Amino acid sequence: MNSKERILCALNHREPDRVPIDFSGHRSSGISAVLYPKLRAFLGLPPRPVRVYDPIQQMAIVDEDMLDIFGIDTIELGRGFALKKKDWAPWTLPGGGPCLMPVWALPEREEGRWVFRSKSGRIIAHMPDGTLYFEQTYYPFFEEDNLDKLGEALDECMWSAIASPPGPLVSGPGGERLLNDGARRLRESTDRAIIGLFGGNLFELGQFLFRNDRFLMLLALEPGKVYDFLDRLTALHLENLEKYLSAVGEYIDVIVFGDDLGMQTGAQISPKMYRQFFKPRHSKMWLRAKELADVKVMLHCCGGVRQLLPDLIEAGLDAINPVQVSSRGMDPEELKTEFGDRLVFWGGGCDTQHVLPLGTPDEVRDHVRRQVDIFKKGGGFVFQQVHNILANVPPQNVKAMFEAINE
Amino acid sequence: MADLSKLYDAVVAGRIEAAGTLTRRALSGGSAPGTILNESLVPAMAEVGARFGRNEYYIPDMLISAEAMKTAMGILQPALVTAGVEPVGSVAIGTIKGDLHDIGKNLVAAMLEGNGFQVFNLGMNVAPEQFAAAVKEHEVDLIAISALLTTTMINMKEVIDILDREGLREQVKVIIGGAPVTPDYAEKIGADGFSDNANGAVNLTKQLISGSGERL
Repeated sequence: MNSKERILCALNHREPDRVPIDFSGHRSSGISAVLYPKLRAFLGLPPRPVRVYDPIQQMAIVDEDMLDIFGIDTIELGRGFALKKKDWAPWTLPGGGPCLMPVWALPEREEGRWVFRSKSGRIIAHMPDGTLYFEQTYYPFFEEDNLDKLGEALDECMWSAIASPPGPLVSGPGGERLLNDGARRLRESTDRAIIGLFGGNLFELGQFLFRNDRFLMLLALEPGKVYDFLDRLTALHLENLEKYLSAVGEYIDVIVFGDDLGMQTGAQISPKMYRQFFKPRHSKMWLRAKELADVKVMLHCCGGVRQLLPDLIEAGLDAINPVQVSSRGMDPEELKTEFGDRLVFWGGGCDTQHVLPLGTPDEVRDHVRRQVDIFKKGGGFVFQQVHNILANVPPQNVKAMFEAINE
Repeated sequence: MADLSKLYDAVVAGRIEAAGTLTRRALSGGSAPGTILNESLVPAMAEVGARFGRNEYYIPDMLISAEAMKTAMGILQPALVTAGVEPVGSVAIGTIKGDLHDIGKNLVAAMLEGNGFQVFNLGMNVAPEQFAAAVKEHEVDLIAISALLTTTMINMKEVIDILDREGLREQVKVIIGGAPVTPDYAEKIGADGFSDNANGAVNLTKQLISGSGERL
């Protein structure tokens, strides 16, 4: 069984030869660029230039040698792009380590902070000295929400404007062909399951464009405006989805959508509000994706979202990520019993809030073994630590985690 | 009194404009500012918190109620000052150094304001020294510190340390919250309390400052 077959087996709710593992296959299963060289050194791997493929969260590309050591079964589609030296520019990580950033996403230095500017020159994000990631500073629809200018607004919003590879390398005329070429080459070069990051965010883009608090209040106060916004956004996503899947559909195995609907203590919005605003539009995109290509649909959705799972499944979801087991209501046994036959758990393999950063290697091992035992029964499980491995995690804990999965 | 019960309903339902109108009407109808606050607004926010605790209210509902409360307080505040009604207490709140998340922290701030506390919102990425300065400058009764990440949560202890060093610890209570924070961690760093939600933070603040508030 190769990696792709193993992932597909698990996604089809059958138990593979061993538990399949995702690491760095999407933007929430990766590792901090500050930690990455330390982990390489700890594992005795030769130093390599640190390439930051996610400039906002400051996450590193994990090189083939490390993927091999840990037996990783996934690869993100973006790894088929930005392979030339000229696609990268030198930069310095917080803490002083050297790294390479995508040339189109190079931060600028200001007094006391790094900033990102939009194409129009506006500062849209910053990383003050002493912090380790970029935070959005400009919300295009906060003061004035001209929905006719949705496209322009997306260009002024950190999360939509600052792209990971392939990013602008495949935009403009001929872009779809370049996207198709890169995807095909990646498919020919690897047996790993390829994950395509599409996004299609609805709830989150509301929060990113209007600002969190304003969008959440709009949901309660002005449903008409929110419907209008979501209809336009969904139409835009569907148009992009057609292009995206016509270019890469035959090469990717999983398509990832994103919308964090949860928080530590439960869902941010009620199941009723989810059904009212988001479910029909999520469903339209997810079902369309499956019509366009032979792909499984995964949603990255942080927090305690158990209450929303029945609706997400009904809307056409195949796999939920990251299964934040430290949130309220996210008990692994209960989740597996209640939803395990209908939903793939992609994540939940190791808590990243307490155990991974603060535990001992033995505690990490015990915890991982327990999680895996619960989730792996009958397939329907891909191992992933709950979220990105942050800068302060001890390298020995990362090693213990990956080793424990299939012991 | 009918107006006071309508004002209560308006705040619970998050009707922002109505909350302002009804506050004005209550004042012009002769209700004492302290009565409006204590018999209408504060109980309304307590009900909002209780509904959140029962999963009947979610974040959007809490936000619009807090906004209705703020609108009412904006109108009521000058009358409270004239009548000599003191705020129930004062709080400095901020997201800890290194951390740039503020949704949860702002919700706690709104709920505290909604419950009659004077709130100094110090923002995000707040250095321990800034918390200490707020204690000196505003003589706040309580500091509330938030963190979303395990990488930044560890900086919370520095706030307690600096308060100790500067001899300020005795005069101020410290509570902490945010996704990775646990009661054990609060105890470990010597904080006075922990809450994992905005309603709990309000109750905790009431308990610590005045000995009132629902026991958790």
